Amino acid sequence: MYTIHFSVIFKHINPLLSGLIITAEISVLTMICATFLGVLLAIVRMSGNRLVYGLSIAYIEFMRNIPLIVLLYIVYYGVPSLIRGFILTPFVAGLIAMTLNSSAYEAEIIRGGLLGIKRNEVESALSLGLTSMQVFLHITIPHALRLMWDALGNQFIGIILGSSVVSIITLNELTYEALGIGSSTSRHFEVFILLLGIYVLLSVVLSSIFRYVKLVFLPPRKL
Amino acid sequence: MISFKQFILLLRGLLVTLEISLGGMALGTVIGIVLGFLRASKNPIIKYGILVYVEIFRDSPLLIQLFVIYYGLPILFNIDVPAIATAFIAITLYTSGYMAEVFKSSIEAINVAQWESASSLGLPFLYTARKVILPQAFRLAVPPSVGVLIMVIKDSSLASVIGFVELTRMANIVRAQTFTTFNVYAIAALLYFVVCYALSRMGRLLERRTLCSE
Repeated sequence: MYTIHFSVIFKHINPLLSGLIITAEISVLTMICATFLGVLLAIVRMSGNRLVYGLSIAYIEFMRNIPLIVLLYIVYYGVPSLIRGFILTPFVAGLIAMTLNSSAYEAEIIRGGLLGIKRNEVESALSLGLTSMQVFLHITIPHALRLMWDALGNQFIGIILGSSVVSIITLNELTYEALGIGSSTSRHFEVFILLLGIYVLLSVVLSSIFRYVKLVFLPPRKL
Repeated sequence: MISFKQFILLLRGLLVTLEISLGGMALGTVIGIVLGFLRASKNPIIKYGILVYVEIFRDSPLLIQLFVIYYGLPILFNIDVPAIATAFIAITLYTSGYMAEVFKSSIEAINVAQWESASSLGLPFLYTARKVILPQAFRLAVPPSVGVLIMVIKDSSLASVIGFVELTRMANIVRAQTFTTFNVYAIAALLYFVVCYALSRMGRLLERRTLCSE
């Protein structure tokens, strides 16, 4: 009969902590890159040029409708197989795949926020004598951010959860380290129960931060 | 390039992907409906129990849920579990968390007065839920459910990691046979894209129809 022992796992807590740091690194870098690319895509999609408009839609729809793991295989195994002597490290391949995937979602979120800005509010501010820079900083940005904030928070949580997939191409992040501890202690079940708790905790903490920031810096407008 | 026979293999993988996704979605929806109704309960144990259940399955990666079930079932119940059962259980639980949220908001969107009038007419709770609320909630739930289905089809690719042979695993197998890495994964990606994009168009159409009929 199998008895559940968590105490064995806690002797191997160091690899989990170093895995957590790698998970944090790749997630934060993905958030930054994907937001940057997402803004670019959203602007391009809203521009008048039909060619770039079509290309950006094709990109967004393709990335949103394929699994992250297949994209990861294409970036890590597929592309280097086409180019002689070209190798990606698991970290870089993971970062590229996750950025490509998330930027498509973020482009849609950011576009939604930008479309929600009301023209008459911008015009009123301008007519009150605010400079266009002031309008951008005090009207456009806060309004758009308030509209896209919750969706952006969910997307960032999705990035952290999605980073577990990069363990498959041997990036030594949280899930990869957990598999290693499982093999060396034969206590896979306990490790993954603990890991489930860690990911839930990370999600809850991040969503609390997002809710707090919204409450303090982006309060609902008083009319 | 891959041969016709290998393309057929990938198509068979796609079929398995669709089967496991639709199967998990079907059972997950049933659980989700029950949880969606129970969440309106006044009993704090039921209410917060469901809240925790939903948060666990929505706030953790499906990959980890798969591993917990893959390693957990054999040791807890001392049974051998085939990969398809592990995948099916994990996808069902994962889906049920999302569908519980979908049905919770659909049920909440229906006017409380309907519950009250049904009860004042002497209809019992279950009858009201089944015959009055659910048919209306269903209509509201369809467009977001399509979104969940697309997510499930994509995320079912993670079951390849525990050895379940669906489209992604089949792509790994074909890749090992042919050594044409890029093409195989590109074709797999296209197959996922065709199915998910068609579904997302359909979802948008249904959404518009729901909005119009309001």
